[in-house]
Amino acid sequence: MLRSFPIRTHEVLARKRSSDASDVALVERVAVGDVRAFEALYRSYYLRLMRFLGLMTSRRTIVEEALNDAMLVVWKRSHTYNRQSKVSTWIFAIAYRTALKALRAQDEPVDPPADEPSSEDAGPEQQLSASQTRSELLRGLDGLSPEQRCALVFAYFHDLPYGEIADIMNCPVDTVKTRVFHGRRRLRALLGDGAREAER
Amino acid sequence: MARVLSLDSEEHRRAQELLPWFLNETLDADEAAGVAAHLEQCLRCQADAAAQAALRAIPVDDGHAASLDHDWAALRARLDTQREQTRRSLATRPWWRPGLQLAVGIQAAVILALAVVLVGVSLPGSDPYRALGANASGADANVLIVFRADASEKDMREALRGAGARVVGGPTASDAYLLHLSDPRPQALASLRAHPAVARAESLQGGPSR
Repeated sequence: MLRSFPIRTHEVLARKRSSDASDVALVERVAVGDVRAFEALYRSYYLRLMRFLGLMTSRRTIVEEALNDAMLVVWKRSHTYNRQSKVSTWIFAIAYRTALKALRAQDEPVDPPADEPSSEDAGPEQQLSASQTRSELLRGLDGLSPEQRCALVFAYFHDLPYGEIADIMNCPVDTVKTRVFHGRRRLRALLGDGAREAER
Repeated sequence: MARVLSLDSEEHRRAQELLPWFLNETLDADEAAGVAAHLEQCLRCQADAAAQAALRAIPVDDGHAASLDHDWAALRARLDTQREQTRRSLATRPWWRPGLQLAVGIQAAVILALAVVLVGVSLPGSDPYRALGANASGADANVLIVFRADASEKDMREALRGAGARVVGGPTASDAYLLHLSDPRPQALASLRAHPAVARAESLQGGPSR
């Protein structure tokens, strides 16, 4: 069973280092107003930010607005990037703060996306489709605190080390571990039996 | 052989805490070995790891790539709007304002010159009087600055006042300005660099660059 969890390869790490170096070069060009470098940075981070923000809030319009708000901050504050952290950590920290603001401004309860059937529509004997499973996941995540939700999303769906999550969320490493531990217990309780079946 | 360990054991608690990072393969070698050894013998943690692995496998991207060009175009439009506003604010400044600034500058220079004359007269042995056109070393440019393209004139003034700097030359062909920073210490330069309106600021007297 344990062999089903592969060990990270040196090739993956080398690729990440290369990506970090090119990101730094892009941010330095953005800092002097290079729009083409900014577009390259935007395209490079778009899917990762969409994934993060899409799991932090399930409203598509808020996700798109928050993404561009976050990247606008990247544009304006690029001269403050000091290489003390990875570019990805710096950008995700900006996106995290933007997401928190968007969530605070989001007063009404979150509805499931219109094109994704709710769990009541599917009988227990039916196998959950991918979109239904995603919908269930979003419903469960909605029941967590923003901090638990963020830590859990970074650990499970962005494969970030706990140290990097702590840097992004500007909190101690032990706080990250505690948030993920309690967040996943609560998520399991919120997902209910149907979603647990989907997990198995 | 697998066995159920006490759920209160420190080893079990630690493995539970680290499971998400064991699964995303970001633990260091010692931590990963500790969790792996515990998993070998803990049925509860094995089941938990399998459930978490299934959760991680849920497809969470929802056709986002299709919106990339649209969303970039929206952000690009916001950037262009900001630049246009900055350009307009510079272009629509009242015609008398630059002249007024020049007049105030000349007036200040005359007052300063009179002050220098008076001090020179009253302090025997002090530096001789120097005419306005003379190259006073204290007024030399000591910093090169580039403002951000979308910085407003107000932002620029705020940045200069905050750092105790004044423009002594420019703009150059690359839109840089020459400044005299009254406080030449690195902290003053760092404060100038930290201002959102400033894209780049370099000391012309050597020392660490940005």
